[in-house]
Amino acid sequence: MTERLTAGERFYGLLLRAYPHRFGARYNDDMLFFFRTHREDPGFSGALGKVKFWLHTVGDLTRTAWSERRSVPDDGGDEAPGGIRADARYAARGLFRDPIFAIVAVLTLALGIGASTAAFSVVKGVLLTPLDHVDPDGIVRVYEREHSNPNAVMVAYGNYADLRGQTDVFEDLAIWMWNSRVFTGVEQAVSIRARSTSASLARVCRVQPALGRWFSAEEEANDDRVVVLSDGLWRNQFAADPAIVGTSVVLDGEPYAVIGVMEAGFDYPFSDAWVPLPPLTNPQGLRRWHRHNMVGRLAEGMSPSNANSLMTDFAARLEADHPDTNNGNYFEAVSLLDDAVGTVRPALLVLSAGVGALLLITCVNLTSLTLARATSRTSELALRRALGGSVGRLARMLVMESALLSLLGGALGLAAAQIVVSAARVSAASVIPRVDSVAFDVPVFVFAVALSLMTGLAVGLLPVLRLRRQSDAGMETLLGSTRTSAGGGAVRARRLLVVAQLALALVLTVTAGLLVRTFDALQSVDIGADTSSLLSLNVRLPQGEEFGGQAGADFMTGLLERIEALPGVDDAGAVLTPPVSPGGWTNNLTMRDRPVPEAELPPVLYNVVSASYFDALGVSMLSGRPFTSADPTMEGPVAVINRAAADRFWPDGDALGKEIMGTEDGRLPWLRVVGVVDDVRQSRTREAEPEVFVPMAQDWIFTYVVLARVEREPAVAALAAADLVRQANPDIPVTNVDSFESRLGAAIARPRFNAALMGGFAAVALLISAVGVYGVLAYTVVMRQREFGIRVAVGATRARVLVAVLREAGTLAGIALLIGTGGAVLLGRGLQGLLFGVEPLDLPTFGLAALCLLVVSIGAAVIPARSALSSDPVALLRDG
Amino acid sequence: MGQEQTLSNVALEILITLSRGASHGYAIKLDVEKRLGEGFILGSGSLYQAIQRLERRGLVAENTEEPAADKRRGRVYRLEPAGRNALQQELARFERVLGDAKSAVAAGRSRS
Repeated sequence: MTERLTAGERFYGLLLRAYPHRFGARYNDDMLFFFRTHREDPGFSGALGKVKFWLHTVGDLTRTAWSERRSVPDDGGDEAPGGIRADARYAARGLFRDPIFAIVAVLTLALGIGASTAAFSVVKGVLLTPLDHVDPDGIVRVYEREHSNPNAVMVAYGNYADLRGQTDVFEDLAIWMWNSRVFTGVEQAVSIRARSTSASLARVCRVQPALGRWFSAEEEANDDRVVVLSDGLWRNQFAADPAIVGTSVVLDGEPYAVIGVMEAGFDYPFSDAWVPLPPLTNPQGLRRWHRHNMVGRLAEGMSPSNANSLMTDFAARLEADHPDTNNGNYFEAVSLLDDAVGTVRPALLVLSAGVGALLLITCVNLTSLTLARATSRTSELALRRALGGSVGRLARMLVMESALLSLLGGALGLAAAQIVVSAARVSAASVIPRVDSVAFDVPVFVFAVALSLMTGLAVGLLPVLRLRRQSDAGMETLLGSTRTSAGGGAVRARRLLVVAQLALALVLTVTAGLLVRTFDALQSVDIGADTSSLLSLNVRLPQGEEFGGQAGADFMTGLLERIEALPGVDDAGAVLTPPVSPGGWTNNLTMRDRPVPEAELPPVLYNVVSASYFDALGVSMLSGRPFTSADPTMEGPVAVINRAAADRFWPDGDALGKEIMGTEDGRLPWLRVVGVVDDVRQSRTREAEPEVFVPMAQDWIFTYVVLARVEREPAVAALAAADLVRQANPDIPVTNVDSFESRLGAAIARPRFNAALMGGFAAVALLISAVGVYGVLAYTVVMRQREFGIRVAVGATRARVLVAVLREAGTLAGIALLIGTGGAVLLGRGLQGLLFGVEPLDLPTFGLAALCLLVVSIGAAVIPARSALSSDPVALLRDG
Repeated sequence: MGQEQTLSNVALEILITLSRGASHGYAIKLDVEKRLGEGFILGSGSLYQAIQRLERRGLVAENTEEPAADKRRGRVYRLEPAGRNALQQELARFERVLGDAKSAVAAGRSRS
């Protein structure tokens, strides 16, 4: 079959292998057809339906495959008669005879495999930028860095042009800008991510338009008004009209000829459309303006590190040629994948470690269970051995058992993982960015199953090794009763394993607790303004004279007044960068009365606001006045600074009246400080930083965030406000119409995601550990049933028996607590980067996690303890 | 293996379905489930295991004369003459069993 199979189909295909060869050859294809249709059956919809479907399918297949293998004279697949078939039969019987073991083992496997696969799928889909449709091999982001400024990444046009000539390093390079354009001519204008890019982007990414063509180097050089649409935009805005190529669309008020539609899936760099980026002709800015993002395809056989060392020489030559602009600049190539991982690395590491810990717990639990079972079977194996069973044969039987368990656990785990992944896709869509790209991760699933299979096999073989050692003592073992109290190394080993998994679970729980507290702390940060009843929406004015400077300010002021006139709306303001939002502008602070060399100018945040902004946000003026709609015409250019700026630069309180931000050569005007406002944080995690505000009419800003204080339901009021904007001018796109709170919520989606995922890990880990504790205690109780019976018979109260069992659970938990706490303390330092507002050694978190562990351990001991109590002393003594 | 082999329940149901005309695997499943009512699910393994045994005994065969209208659903099976025979024998056996059972029950009742 050449078509691509889904994960489920592949797994089904794997199950079909259980049939004899001849059966498979004839029916496999038919059965796959059957499977596909069957899966679509409406009776199996929803999460529960999926479980039902997989349980039924796996059950049906294993059952019939067995009977098929048993009944058919073998067809060349297996060796000796009575070989594997018989072993499998014994294995299955053995498992049925010991349902507690089988169920506990399968559940453990299902939880461990399911949770780790699902979690890793989600982590991968969300944290690793999906590089859809870009073959990431050989593609690198190239940054132009400066020794003096660690944050510098943007490339100057002239350096790009020169670097493109280095064909030994790069096959080709492309640049683009993060710009978007207003798309009008439709019922309602929208802002589309129409990136300006060099023509080489298609070649670097090795993509082709599905319709029409990509723009040429000539069109790039001529700055032609042509546009290539993304598949998504073509479908959403143009109803996938195949005749779109050759028509024209209006972007930022200018007609662009549509020359192509890109192949589906390609949207690098997060684009809706691509337009040519004309070469920079201004000789002043050629190497001074660092405005471009660069991506390149490495030449054949070139690695990023090779490229970096070659570019070091290149940068040195550039520096020699252009000492005034390229002093201290160098280039750095980072593979696209590393680039994507870079920013989320701490979270990725911690969550991957969580997945690993979970798998480890699963395997440890499996080991402990199998060991427990092996101990109780020593005499059975000895009997088989005494009756002439070869060690190899016995080994095969045990291997079969492990394989069977892994298969069942894997099937259940697969079902569970798929449910979690699809549930995550639906429920978390608003919380986690890019969650729609989460796909079930087959390699991780296979890895998890393989790992558990190997664990099962390795541990399953332990009793055989023991058999070999004591093959002479076989009869002795056989004569010894199974009911002697469980003792010896195996029990100690099992306890050790249970302690290990409890300790790991504690570490996971502590980690989860710290992340939850981080999220909590982030959410409850006082940013300096009441954001609870604010609506917010983004407005993007068409670029040009019509909306520049005073004209734009007048338009915005009119708009804000109309929004304020809406029922239930108090004050409305507009701002370039709203509070606690990334991407604020930074400018150098100059002070007229305190000249400083250019290199030593302190950076300050620069923001543009409407006169009503401070009122709308509810920030109080500490001194001076807010802006008025008469600024700057009345008194010339003005500025308002925040408290942080005033405290830092004018600690004596004499900021008012000072002239700032200008240059002596008159290139930038001096702004007179007319007011000081209270601080509002620009980021949740940092104290307010110095910020300078200027009135709208004083700058040319085309993107504003409108914030308005409303009486109730800001999200609903926002819709009404958005309608007003559209009525005012249908060519103005309005986006992100919502309450300001939910916009802020989106900003902390990632910490929330970390906390939720780790919380899930911890829950599953505790559950598996509970299963482990239960498994060990249940066995201990069975083994000690006679002892308990005697105890009760000689007068021990039932309470004392109960205490004996619970004490064992308590001891295990206690030791695990010590080890786990130690582990969590050691690992806490690694978490530091992800934490906020909580110390890695947060006592309440540790305490609560410890409490969870104790409750789970004691809880797991209750059932075995009850069964110990219910043992009938008379019957036990008689049988014994 | 004796010639007086009995049919498994699933095999019998398949023969009943095919006695109305040739059919492909999934259609057989739906028909059987419809007859047996809610709650019974005929899985792919059970179905094809039964088909394989019926094929081997020559009771059903792949319908090669009339290639499947919809190739994606897999092979189409039809009832062979021997299959119709076996079905009738089985039904006759049922009637015999039923008759025996009825008279046994009747006898038991009269005795008490």
